[in-house]
Amino acid sequence: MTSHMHVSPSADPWKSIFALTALLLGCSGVEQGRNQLAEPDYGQFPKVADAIAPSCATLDCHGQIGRNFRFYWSRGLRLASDGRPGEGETTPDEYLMTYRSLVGLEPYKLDSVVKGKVKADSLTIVRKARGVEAHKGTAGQLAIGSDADRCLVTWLANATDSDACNRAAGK
Amino acid sequence: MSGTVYATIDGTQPVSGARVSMTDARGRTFVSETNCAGNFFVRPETWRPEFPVKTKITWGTQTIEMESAIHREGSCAACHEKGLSPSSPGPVFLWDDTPPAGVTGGCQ
Repeated sequence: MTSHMHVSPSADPWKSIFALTALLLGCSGVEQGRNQLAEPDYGQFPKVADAIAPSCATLDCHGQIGRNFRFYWSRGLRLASDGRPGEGETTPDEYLMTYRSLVGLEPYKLDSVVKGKVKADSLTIVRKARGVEAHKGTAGQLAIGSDADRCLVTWLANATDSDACNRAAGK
Repeated sequence: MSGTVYATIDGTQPVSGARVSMTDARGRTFVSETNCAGNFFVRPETWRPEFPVKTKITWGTQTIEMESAIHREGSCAACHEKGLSPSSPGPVFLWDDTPPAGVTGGCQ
């Protein structure tokens, strides 16, 4: 038996190194692609959440842990184990968890909306909120052109109309 | 629409004669009164509200208004479970402290 018939990783180290490098590059490519997805500005999100919460976040709607879009709110579902609906203000952690829930619904479509490639109404959350698409809750929670609707849609397009948000939140 | 009204948050004493006022998205108001068990109910053939519905409860001079609107749930107990938790504000109740004299509840 000659040595060239014996096949193992150690027998051809360059082949193994090449395979490992390709694998690592492939993985990092996927991760980089994920990180490149655009998301709306989190810094503006609390005012958006405050604007749409009365229509979306009640305990009989998205203020439930079973919802894909889970919405934490001071008057609804609380994040902390000792939190109680109706006590205190919505916490920073609650805003963040609601934000993560929202941006995770349709990340690739959201990327296109934030980058201005498609309109916000291509997102399910906007269509359902407007009642354009079937929605088990009240149809048309956010009437098209209402302050709450404008607040949400402009935020998704990275041009938040803060005045509309404040009006919708009653501030 | 249905539910039970208690005197205090511990949910042990039902309140009879409490007036539950519900106003729907069209501005139509329906008032129901609790029975001896503290229960009220409105049959769909009597009143079918268009959500969201805003609610307040009155007994004598005491009035409690629900902070958020009801958007789809006809049963108060679906959200107002007896125990306090991150997903429940507790039962529907009227007084933070001892209820006034004259408050009755509990069927004989």
